[in-house]
Amino acid sequence: MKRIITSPVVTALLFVLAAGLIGFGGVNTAQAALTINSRDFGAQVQLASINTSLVETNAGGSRVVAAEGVEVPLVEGTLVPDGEKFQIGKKYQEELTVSNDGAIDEFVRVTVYKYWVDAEGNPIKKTDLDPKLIELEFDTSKWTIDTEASTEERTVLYYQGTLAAGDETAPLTKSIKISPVTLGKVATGKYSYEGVEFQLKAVVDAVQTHNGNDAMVGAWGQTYSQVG
Amino acid sequence: MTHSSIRATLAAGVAALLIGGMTVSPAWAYFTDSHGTEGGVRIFVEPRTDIEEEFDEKGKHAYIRNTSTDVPVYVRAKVYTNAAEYLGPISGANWTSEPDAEGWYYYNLVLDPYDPEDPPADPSKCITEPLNVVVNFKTKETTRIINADGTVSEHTNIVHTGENFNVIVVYEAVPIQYDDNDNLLDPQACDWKLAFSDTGEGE
Repeated sequence: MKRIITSPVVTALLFVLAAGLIGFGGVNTAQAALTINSRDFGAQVQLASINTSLVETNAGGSRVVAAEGVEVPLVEGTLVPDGEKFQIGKKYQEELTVSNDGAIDEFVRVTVYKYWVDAEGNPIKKTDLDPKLIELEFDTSKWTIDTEASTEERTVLYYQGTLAAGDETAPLTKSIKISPVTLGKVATGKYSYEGVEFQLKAVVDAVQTHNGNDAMVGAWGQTYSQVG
Repeated sequence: MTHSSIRATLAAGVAALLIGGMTVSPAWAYFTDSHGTEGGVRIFVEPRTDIEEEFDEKGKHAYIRNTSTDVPVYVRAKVYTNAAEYLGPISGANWTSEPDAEGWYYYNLVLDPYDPEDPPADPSKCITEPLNVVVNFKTKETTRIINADGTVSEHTNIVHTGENFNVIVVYEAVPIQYDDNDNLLDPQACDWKLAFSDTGEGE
């Protein structure tokens, strides 16, 4: 038996068998499998974006005055109808609204400042002139004034509820008028308000409504429900 | 316990404390947005006016002009004289026909401002119609003459008074004013304590 196994013939046969096995092993086998593909389904993932703008409406029409990449002066050249000059004691339409241009709902607040500046040369704030004489009429039907944060010069208003994406708020202001008290003279016979400029400044802040209370406290230091 | 095991236990305890004390509070980020803008309008409150006067045989005629570039005004005027007996009626188109209790005559129309760089369409609205102060420069002198035949005739001569006297027109201007409903107030209803005063003078 041992002589058979170790004989050259058997060795050759085994060699051929091994070569054949190697050769077959190198050949890829072709297989057919049942497959099925569904139609393509698309999914779009959008990152949440928050985007707010301040809109002014007066005699000059309606325009965005503050937004991403936009800063247009308030009231300048638009408050008074064409052909007229600004008159003391007369009410002029001045409506400010907030527009939610983003993809998510938001809480909104606006801080409005009013003060006097010396218009000669570089504007210098006139702290000796009374900001109360700049009579800005607010509309509190949809806005709440934070009386604790507000002063004679600054008014902070919170929009009541949330502002849905794509929506615009009701106006927070209605009109502006300069009091006839500015017509008065001081004892030296000089007109204190002659040639000065009244300034309006508005800043709109928005914060997400998701985890809204935490978001408001984190961004503003208080929640809307704590106002008023 | 041996010293080494005590040290190992202490070290483990300190490590545990350190690990617990180094816990990092979670940091949250919220979506926020903020934008702002500002702007202003310059105001002018000082009324600037001027008076122009003319004289003729009828008397004095006073015109008041708004010389402000931005402030529309109402004006009122009063006449003073040291010879009231020579004054006749005071009147003028668009002026009140009778003075008020203090002697003021009011011009019923707004005087528009005049800006030479942007002249108004109707410059005549920047100046009043004349306030006419009739002055009787002459008086009648009646002379009775006894004629040679004994009859009496009267001759009346018109002679100049020959006297000098002053007729002074004082006027005030106040910016136009509105009521709480945004209605323009009449001149008599305005607050004239805010008025700017000036005087025209002539003799």
